[in-house]
Amino acid sequence: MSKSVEAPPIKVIKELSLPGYETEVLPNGMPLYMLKGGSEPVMRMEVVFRAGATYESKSSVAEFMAGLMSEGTQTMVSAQLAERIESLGATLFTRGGVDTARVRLLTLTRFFPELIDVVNEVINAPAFDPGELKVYADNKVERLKIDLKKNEVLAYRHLTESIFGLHHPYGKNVVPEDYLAITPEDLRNHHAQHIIPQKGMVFVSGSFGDKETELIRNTIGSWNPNHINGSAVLGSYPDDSKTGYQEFKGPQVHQAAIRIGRRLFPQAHPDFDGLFVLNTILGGYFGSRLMMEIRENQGLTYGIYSSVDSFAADGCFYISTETATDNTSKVIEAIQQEMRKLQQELIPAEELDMARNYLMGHLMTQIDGPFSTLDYIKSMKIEHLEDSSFAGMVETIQQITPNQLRELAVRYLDPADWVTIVVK
Amino acid sequence: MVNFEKHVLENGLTVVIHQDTNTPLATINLLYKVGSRDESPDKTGFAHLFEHLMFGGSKNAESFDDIIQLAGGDSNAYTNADITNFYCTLPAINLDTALWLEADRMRYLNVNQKSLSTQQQVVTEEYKETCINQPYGLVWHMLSDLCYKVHPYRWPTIGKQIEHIAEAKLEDVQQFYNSFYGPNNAILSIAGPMLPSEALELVKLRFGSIPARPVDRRTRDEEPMQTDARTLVDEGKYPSSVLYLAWLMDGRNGDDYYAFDLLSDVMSLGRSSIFYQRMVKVLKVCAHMDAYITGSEDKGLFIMELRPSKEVTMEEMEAHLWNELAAIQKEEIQLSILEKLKNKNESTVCFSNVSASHKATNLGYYESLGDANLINTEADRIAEITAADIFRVVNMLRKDNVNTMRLISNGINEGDGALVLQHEDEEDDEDE
Repeated sequence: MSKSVEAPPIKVIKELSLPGYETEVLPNGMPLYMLKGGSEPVMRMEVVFRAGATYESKSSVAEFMAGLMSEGTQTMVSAQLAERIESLGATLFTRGGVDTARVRLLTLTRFFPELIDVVNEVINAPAFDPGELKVYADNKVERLKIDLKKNEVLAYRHLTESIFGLHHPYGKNVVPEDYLAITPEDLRNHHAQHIIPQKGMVFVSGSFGDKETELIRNTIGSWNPNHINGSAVLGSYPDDSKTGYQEFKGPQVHQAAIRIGRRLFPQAHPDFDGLFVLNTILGGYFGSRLMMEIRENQGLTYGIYSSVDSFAADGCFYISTETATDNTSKVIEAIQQEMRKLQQELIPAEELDMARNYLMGHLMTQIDGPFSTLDYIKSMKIEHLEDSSFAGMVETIQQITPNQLRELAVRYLDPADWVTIVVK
Repeated sequence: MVNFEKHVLENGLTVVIHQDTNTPLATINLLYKVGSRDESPDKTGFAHLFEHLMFGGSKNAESFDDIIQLAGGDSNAYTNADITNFYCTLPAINLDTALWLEADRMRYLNVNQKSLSTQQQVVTEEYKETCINQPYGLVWHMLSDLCYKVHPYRWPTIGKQIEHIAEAKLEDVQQFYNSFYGPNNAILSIAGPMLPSEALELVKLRFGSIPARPVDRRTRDEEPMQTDARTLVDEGKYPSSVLYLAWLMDGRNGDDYYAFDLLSDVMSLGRSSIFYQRMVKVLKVCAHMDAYITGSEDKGLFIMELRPSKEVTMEEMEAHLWNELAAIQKEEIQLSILEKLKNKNESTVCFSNVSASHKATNLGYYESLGDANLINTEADRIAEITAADIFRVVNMLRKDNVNTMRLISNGINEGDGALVLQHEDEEDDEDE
């Protein structure tokens, strides 16, 4: 064989550590996490508050509050605010999720001094103007109506409701009427209770130095609003996860959306890392069993994936795919067969090595450069993980045995414990 | 500034190498100069189907993905009207593995009926998932068919009809491979921590002996400048009504390309942009508006996409739109708007260059347009656009050369989401 077509030896990455980052406590008590570096003269600042849907007293208030934070402040109407930021080529996002509300600024470093006061005002003095709220709500309703015409969206909504329950913050879903019922008063209350230094964290990455840090200390780091006590904890919800099969008539008829899932736990649980590896083998990457069997061997779908999703206080494990309506039961059976196989048979060494190496490469991309790395650290902080959890994850990827994976499969992959949702 | 080396091997393979010592990962990007514009009108969707077949293994590597994954890498590809692009990111110590795999499938792709049949099914499901089973999934089919009459951009990359995918034959596959997948029709770009000289040695070892193959490209008819107004109205079960206005514009190398590009940003990039402010915030006639260009190599489209607000009719919104357009056609825009977009552009380029994999992909793409150095100079070219340029191109957006596509929601709700079947699994739950 000529040298040019001979396979080169593959080198295996065995060790990987979380890059170092700086931490300080700002004058008002908020932690500031910093990672400097990068070849480009740009930086990113993200201020994260534990103020997501988990903490809201009325549906979608957290999401709306976050969205409306960038629609005007007490001194600038929405258009002026947008102009202040965009005239410098910067971008400001404010978003609300299940656990957090976040304000994120991306900018050329040289404009940061002009923008930090604007961000500070967005955080501590948003306007929550009734006119802006109406435009925002009407547009959200329109977008939701479009989403509700997609089988895959309906399937995911039924899945979260079945896994966590209709009223659980991770399970409940919004309807258009919820959006229209939100008042400026709701937004102000949520803001007063949850957008406070005691619930905040600041993450800064990219090219910046002492000058920028000092500006942060003197602005959002010194902000001390009147603290209003509210329901600051996640309520307790019974574990009423459903199992079995549920089929719904969907708006689209050519393909069925299939979601099969179960409740799990937060990432701090001792079985999480092992399940992360097991998930990879089941459906977490292109070389997974579901992808190889159902797409590459049988051609029944364009894509099939499994995921372990973790939130600050819970988690879930689910499989998702779309297939021709007539093939629905065939695909469900094939999925269940792959789950049972992992419960019964040991994973061959070559397959496990492939998943280990893939995951090491994947982790390398997660901590490649200051922006990605600090994003990773941010997720760890939101989910209450210690830095040592990274080493724990690497160790599990390297050390977990086929026997341990089979034990996990026996415990967590029994199809009888999972709910199957079909929308077609 | 992105420094790079460019080499052309004797077999015609163009190689662009950028060293980035800030990352332990390498990205290799292999761009083939073939897209759906090279297809015959009765065999559309073929370039994209072929992209899928490139993952079916080659003579010395039974599975492309298994080996990439074993080497800690992740790989994927995409096809558009102009190019087919394959990329892979993996630990730089395994760069040679990725090069070997790419070279092997360039030289010895395993073309067989099993692989073809399976991927025909997969792409058929992809077609359903992205086109047929989506509320607006066929928009691009309808719009390109309205705007183009002779050029192959008149069908979308996924294919004009789902049947074309099913009709593909093994001999078509072999011929397509021979015609377009030789080294002389490809650009290999690499970014990572390796010394460029060392990377080049590996490239020469793996690709140097692959023979060039004659490129057999169909001639494309140029789309003539549009001199009529065309309208398509489609009433159907759209969740809400949408209006598309589209005008034919210069391709990537045309004189007015960057002026149109910037005009789309003037109109709708960011919430302070003039059209967005007027239509969504002040007049409140749109729930959503966007202006964008297709950015193709041959003549492309300048598109405005608008969704009327609740209780505003399509006619009212359209009338407002033409008024607003007339307003910016009367005098040049303020210089502060151009200044703003210059800052935005600088910032976008910097954030894009943070990632070595973006740089590899961008270098390959710019080289396919004729000059990899556009990665460094494109921002300057955009910065050279003047208010007079914007004024000139905005006046090309007229009523007598516009394509108007109105998608009207008929308000019919099919599939009410009702539960139709529910049962508990029959198996007994085991105690954990």
